[in-house]
Amino acid sequence: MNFICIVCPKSCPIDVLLDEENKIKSISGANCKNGLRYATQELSFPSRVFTSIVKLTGGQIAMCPVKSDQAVPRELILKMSRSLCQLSIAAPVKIGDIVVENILGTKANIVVTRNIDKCKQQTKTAKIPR
Amino acid sequence: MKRKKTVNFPSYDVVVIGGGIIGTFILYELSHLPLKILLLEKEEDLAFGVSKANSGIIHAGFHEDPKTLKGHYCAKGNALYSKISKKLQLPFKRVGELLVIKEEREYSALHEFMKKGEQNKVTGLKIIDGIELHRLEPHLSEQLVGALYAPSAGVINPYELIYTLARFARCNGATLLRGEEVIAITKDNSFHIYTSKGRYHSKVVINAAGMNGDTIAAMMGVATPAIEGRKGQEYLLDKKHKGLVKHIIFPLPTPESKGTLIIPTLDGPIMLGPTAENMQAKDREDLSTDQCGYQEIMERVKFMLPAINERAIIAGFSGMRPIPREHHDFIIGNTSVAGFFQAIGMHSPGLTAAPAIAMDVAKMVSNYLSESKLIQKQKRCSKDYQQKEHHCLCHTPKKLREVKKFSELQKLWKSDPEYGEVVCRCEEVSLAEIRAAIRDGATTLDGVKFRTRMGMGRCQGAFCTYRAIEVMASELAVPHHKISKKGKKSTIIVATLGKDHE
Amino acid sequence: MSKKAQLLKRQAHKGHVSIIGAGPAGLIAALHIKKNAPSTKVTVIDREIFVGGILNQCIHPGFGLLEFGQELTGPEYAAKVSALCRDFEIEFLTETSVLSINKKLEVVALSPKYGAKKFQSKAIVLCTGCRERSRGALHIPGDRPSGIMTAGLAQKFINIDGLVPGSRVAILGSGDIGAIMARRLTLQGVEVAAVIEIKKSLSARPRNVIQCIVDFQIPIYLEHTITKIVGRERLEKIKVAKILSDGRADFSTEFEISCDTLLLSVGLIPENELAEMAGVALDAKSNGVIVDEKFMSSIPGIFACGNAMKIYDLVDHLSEDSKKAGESVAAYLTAPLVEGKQV
Repeated sequence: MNFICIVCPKSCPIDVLLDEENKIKSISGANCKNGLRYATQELSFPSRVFTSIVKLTGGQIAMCPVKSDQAVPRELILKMSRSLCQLSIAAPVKIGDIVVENILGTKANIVVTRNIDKCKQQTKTAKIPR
Repeated sequence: MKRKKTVNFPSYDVVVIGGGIIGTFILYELSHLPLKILLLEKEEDLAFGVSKANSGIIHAGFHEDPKTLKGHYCAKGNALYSKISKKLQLPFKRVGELLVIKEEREYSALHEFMKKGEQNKVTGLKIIDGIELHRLEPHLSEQLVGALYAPSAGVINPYELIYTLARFARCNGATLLRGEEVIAITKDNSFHIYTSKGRYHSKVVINAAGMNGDTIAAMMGVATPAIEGRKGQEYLLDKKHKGLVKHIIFPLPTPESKGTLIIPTLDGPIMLGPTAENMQAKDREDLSTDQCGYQEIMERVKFMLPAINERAIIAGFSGMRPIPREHHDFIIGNTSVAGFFQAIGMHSPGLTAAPAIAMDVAKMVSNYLSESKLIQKQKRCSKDYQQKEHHCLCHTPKKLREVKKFSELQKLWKSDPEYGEVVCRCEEVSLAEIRAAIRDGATTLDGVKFRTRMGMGRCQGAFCTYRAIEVMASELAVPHHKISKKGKKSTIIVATLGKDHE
Repeated sequence: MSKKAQLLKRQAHKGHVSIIGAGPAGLIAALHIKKNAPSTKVTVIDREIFVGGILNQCIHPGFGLLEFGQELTGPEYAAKVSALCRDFEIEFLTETSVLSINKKLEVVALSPKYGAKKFQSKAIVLCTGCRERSRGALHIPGDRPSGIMTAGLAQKFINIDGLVPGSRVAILGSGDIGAIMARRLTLQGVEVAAVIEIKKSLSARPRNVIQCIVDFQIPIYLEHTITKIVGRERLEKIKVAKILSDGRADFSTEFEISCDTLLLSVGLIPENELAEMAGVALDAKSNGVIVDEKFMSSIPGIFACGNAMKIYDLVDHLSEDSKKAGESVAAYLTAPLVEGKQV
């Protein structure tokens, strides 16, 4: 079986040989151990880092970007996204703030990926996201 | 008895149907008279019909047959533009036209046009040879051997003209209603105009309905040639190619049109086109572009100007010329129905002729009203409207891109800090100008675009649309998904996930 | 004045660098100028309220693997880089548009907050990024309805403001932004009807093809192009056809895809209008600033890095080069004067 590794931008082509019982006989092509792990995982249990947005109230912008702090099962991603639609969080938020713990029982948390202050009337000073 | 029944509906002296160049020009002229006047436009904004794709040329007038209304009004209108542009403080440049030829034997055609021009009272016409031509326009093809030079031709921004005329008319007391399509008109002792939104009375109706001029005429039972569409595709070059030509370049015309031109528009970008495609009546709203038209234009303009770089094209669009079937001239003046006037079939040189036509139509209407004793003859209240128009001029928003000096920049910012936010970077349009456009009546993205040039540049709105929608939603107090490109169903976004934008 | 006196004067006069654009290129250049020439005054100018440039709307992961050794999202990457900047005294002028620059290294900027400003700089670094090819530049024939926009604009609409651009979307071009938007829209409940690519293969990087298009079974039309846009008000449908070997459409294969939105992801053009204004030489084909190995343009003292110079696939590569650019700007500024000129 052939994969293209998606762990890093190098996109290594990975070749996995299976035996009669669909067990991995050999993996070739990966340039690092992450690639090996990816190929094994992709065969048994494909997973992805999930990113999306949630509503933010009282913030400088309307939406807050979020991600899963670890890879989650691929087939749960759409469901996860739908469940976030119902959610609303309040500013200020900081990178790493947990929005949902153990989402859909995956052990992954949904965390904030941008520092967003409360909305001020007029921004007078330059802003550097913290 | 009739009066009693209809007393609840607003009543006017004159109703103008159509908010294009000719309609607004007539409204503007009428607004100087002591009349109660109304303009009805079916689209979401003025200038959204035929005028939308106008190339902004103020023709010299040598193309037209002296026996036609086009010939009669063109040079006359051209001359009026000096005064009008000064009065409205609109930029207008007499860049001149060059009708170029590629063979010596075509000189005879130039002489014919010169003769026509002189009959039409076009001034300054001159036939020049290839050397002179290339001195004036060094980038033109070496294959061109001569030209007819008409220095009186010019360029104007047609949108700016329309919106300014409308603003002046409004400050003189005229009412403008948009998004109101006229559905029916009846007449007893006065006209009853039924629109998609309401009903109005008027002593006079002026049909300036562009592509729909025949439909409106039919409502009154006035026999008029059918209005057919003649489509013209146009393509715009990035403004950094400004200066490639300084004059409007014409080839020898075809029976269909003045040919495919190279136009140095007032605001910088060079416009290439148009095509001349006769459309069926049902397709007169088909403003699509196609590869054929594109190739045809490129082939023709590259023959005249080989330096044109196709990669520099930033936009393509189509316009529709309203051509009365088998008539090929404007239809202007009174009709078989007393009090029903027309200014339809306004194709090229409609923009050029508009001020002269508007003056004549206003005169006809005023004479009709006083002769038929519908109003008492009153003098023009010139002092009153001059004052109002002066006030109107003082409130004309400044343009950031026209401010070059640092000190003036600072002054502009002090007058309104919103001049400091550049929303459209390609055309240097500030937030202050966008807000002014919305306050001038722009309710759509195109309305803002036509008033300010926002989004007309090389990125075609990729950067500014975001901010523009935000500003429009807050200024118009509507949610983002109610903001449209040109009204009706032309929304930009369909839903809001985030906070409520009310 | 003796050479020594000139040198002293120069050292006393700290020198000023204007960096135009506070995206990753601008931030990293600023950082490394300050690191290597600490006495230089560095001003970073950006039109937006927030620094970080386009990274702020790129909420997907894939950033920083090479540079920081961990996979970050765009906003996280921006936050990391700006945190590094905070250790240095760098002036940030946000909500400020640069109106012009010239070969005398004068910068005129304008802001709603404090009006017009003029800087005399010792060096200017252009980090103005890029723009997306528009419909006009592609001349896709047909009507001109609403619902046609660049993928980047749609990304900004949805990720920053939660504004959904359509309900059934087709994407022309399979660049990374297009692929990422296909996933983004799918996750937001928008149907992605097609990704149309003129080439034989998708142009997004393989990891984006897999995670964004294949994972969600989005229909792909390779070697196809749009032959007509249909819709007078809002987009109603597009006509699509296979392309022949000479690149023209084969109209016998034409079919329709109904959609209310068309996103364009057909390539990026370096945004170099300011550079052009100053007379900086640009590459005729790519529109990127032509620079030497020290990232200096054809005008002495004007440098360029990031997407304004060339279009990068990966922010990590861009950052690596911008670091080098920052270092060479610092070297340029601290070089001793010889006969009034820098060596």
